[in-house]
Amino acid sequence: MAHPNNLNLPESETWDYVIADGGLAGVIAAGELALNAHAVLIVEPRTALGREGTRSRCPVGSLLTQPGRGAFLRRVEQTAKAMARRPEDLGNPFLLEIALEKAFLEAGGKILYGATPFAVTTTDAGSVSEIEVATKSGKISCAASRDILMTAIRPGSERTVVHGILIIGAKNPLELRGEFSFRGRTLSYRAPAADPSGRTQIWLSWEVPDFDLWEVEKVLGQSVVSLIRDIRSRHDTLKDVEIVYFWDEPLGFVDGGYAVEFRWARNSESVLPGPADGTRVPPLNQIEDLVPRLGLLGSTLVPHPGRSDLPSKEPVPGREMSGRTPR
Amino acid sequence: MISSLSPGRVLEADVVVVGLGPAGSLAALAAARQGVRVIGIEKDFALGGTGTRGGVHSYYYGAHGGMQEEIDARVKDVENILGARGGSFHPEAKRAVLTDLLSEEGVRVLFSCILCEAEVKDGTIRSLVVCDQGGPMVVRGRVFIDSSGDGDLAAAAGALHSFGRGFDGASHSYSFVPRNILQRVKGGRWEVSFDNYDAGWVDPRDPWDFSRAVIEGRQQMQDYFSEEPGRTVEVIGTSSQLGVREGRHVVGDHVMSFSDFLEGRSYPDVICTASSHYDNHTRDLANEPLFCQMWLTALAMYRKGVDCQIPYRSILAKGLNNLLVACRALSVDREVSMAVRMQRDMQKLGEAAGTAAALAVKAGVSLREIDLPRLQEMLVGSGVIQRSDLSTDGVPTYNFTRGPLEGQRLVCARVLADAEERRRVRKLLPQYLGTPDEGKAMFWLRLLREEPRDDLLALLSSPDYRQRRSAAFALAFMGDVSAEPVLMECLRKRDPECPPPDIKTYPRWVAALIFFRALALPSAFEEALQILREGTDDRYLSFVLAYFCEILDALDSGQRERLLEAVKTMQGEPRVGRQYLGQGGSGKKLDIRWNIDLWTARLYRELSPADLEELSLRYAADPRPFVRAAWKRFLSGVAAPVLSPTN
Repeated sequence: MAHPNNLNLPESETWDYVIADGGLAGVIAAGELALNAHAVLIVEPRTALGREGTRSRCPVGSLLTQPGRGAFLRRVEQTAKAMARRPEDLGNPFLLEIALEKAFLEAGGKILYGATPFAVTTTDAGSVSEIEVATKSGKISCAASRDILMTAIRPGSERTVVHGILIIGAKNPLELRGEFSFRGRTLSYRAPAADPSGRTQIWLSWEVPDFDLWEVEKVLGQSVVSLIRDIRSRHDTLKDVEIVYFWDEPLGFVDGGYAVEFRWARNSESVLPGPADGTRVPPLNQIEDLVPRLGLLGSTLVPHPGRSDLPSKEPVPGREMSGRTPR
Repeated sequence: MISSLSPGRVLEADVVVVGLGPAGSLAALAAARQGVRVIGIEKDFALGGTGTRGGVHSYYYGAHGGMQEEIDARVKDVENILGARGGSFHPEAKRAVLTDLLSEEGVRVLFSCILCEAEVKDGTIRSLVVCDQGGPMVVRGRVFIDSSGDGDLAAAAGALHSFGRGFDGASHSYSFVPRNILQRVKGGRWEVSFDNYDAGWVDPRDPWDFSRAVIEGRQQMQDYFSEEPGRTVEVIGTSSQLGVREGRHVVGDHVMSFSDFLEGRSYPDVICTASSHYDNHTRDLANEPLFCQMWLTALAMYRKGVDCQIPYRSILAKGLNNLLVACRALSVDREVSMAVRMQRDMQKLGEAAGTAAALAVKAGVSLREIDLPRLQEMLVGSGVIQRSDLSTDGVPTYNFTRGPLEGQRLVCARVLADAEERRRVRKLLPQYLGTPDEGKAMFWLRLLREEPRDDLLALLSSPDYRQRRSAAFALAFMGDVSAEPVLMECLRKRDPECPPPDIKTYPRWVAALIFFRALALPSAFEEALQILREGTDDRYLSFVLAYFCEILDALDSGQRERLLEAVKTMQGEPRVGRQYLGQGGSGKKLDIRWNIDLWTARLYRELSPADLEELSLRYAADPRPFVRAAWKRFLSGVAAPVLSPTN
């Protein structure tokens, strides 16, 4: 049934590439493609790019400076440097959030926020034609003449959730770790040493049978209350600590590593042409060339502080990762 | 072939709530507490909407009462454990409390889930198709509550609704609130604060325009990194949600008009009360209805608080059997919606709707057949309304705190109904002209305009300029052209006096110019032309252009030529329309040239069609969807808010 709204949505535009979800993998892939003068659209359900890389406040400072990073990340780095007032700003995920968006738009990319990609439509021959997107005003389709990349962490794929909580007023050094029990669950927490202003983050992690955000949320708030009450009573240095924000995006883990699922739905002839004349970006000859440029599918991404607390797990059976399994 | 990432799932409940912000969270909770099965659909992945996720963790006006009092008390307890303080509440504390409450009552919440479609048969919503990244799901229910804010469910179900203002189809300005923390020097505690400034305009129905608004909003936050060190406010991120203030307005069984609202009308089917003022953030006021322009300038009533009742019929979507609209999309005029949208009021409205929905489900009747007195009794019991709300003949709003009417409880309906009372009140009103209470007096004078007005006419020649001006404004507000000479005096001297300082105040000459437009008096042509030539604030320019549009027919060819020349000169000024500051002031100048040019276009249409074509071509390709829509609308000659669907 058609959505009976009165909008004249833009006439369907065909993109070269549509990237489902603007997490770090998605936006960097999209950025490289855009720098190669392709028409690229990112479809992102939230209102910011970077997902776990920016909204969880996971430390990603080295992302911008690691060797071997692709052209797009270098652009992001330049953009971030132009905005930063102090060197430490470069490690600020909020700055990264702005810089990713700005660099991508300057590379000619387009973003559709508040829109959930949920299915791809394929032709009989098996080549991708469009992606189905749910928006507040009904379903729309975004057609890709070349490929559709799906980079999201998918519901159902995670077993451990990690949530960051910003605290301030901590006296240096804080360094906490431990376990506690809440409503029949065991939660572990860890807080690295506070910075000179007394700021740090508690990383709270627990296992969930299924990645259901409502189940995650039911644990989050009250367990933080319970935790903070408990550790305040046990640690004198924590009596002045105040909880400010729960970070926006929970992290999901598979197998103790980043569960970045990077896979693509490929059109039958998927050889990428080089950049348009005049650009100095190294050409992408095929989509696999993207992988080394992402700068996060290798081991160079700074591990999450909670990661070492997590038991190692077997990969979830039956999961298909048509890219490279991130390590 | 569509290959979804997971196969279709089907869920079922008695009550389905779409949107779990302040209204929806309480709607779900209220329904669940009555023992019915509730499913909530939320696009974000936390509860609380604007208050917890939109960065506005503070109550602005709004009426007290109902479950929100219990919730706020619990939030305060959690806040005390967390440590930092919020504005009115700590956003994460509220988020945690709402989650706990809904979870205790067994509400099933689907996060990151977007409404796609509604299946409607014979006026009854059978099911919804909702979507998360795992693919579509079908949600069946008996009663549906639209708490989406923008009226998404009502629109999907085909409900009649309107959107945007008459002038350009634009909706109220939006904000994109930075998440701040602020070290409070006194007391030493930290505050989770926010900075709620207007970022521009957005059409929240259009996903492309929504995306543009997110991007532009974030661009305005870049400056926070270059600000001086030593600031105590530190921005740590963007809010998760865009601060949209206005979406669709659903047409219900009753549409509360601005007069109903301002006159404090009472309803036999009252289910909720609201309390705020005509909180229109826009500063391009010339594009709002004339009455509102006078309300804010001549009467200076920006901050005049108004209490109102909301009838059950205003949340019943017309033509649909099982839909309640419990959010700012409820059935009120756009002007009323500027006031009836505050978090407290939406929480109460949600509670009322959730209670009504449960009542219908449990009784096995349709929403229009519920036992209304029983609903009201339940709402009195929980404090959403007071028992006295059920028997009042109206809400008194324009009472006087000094002078001959001091302390008298004046209810519009009661005064209007009694000829003697009308005469008594009317006779005392002129004494307030020229005093700080003149706005209220002007309101009453207009309401009682059938009474003789010799006393007002006499005041036009008062030796006291303020009194003269006040009488002229009062008369002009009643549509009386006798005010003209004094209005001219006020305009000619560019009377700079602004009524009591407020964030929204306009110099008196602007009020005078508005009256020249409202009364269609061409006599201010030369003055207005001079203002245009001298150049004026972007906020005032549209008043001048709008005035010319109004009197165009009365101008001779010489005047038309001079006007065209002045307009063209103004058009050549690149700075025009680029100095506009939104309310709240991020310090970022917003572009309002597109909007000023819409007035220019109206003048060109009559004076110089070739110039109109050139101007229109420029905007046909504008990257901003809401701007393209406004121009398309202008060119197609639509002048009033579009009601849709029209079939």
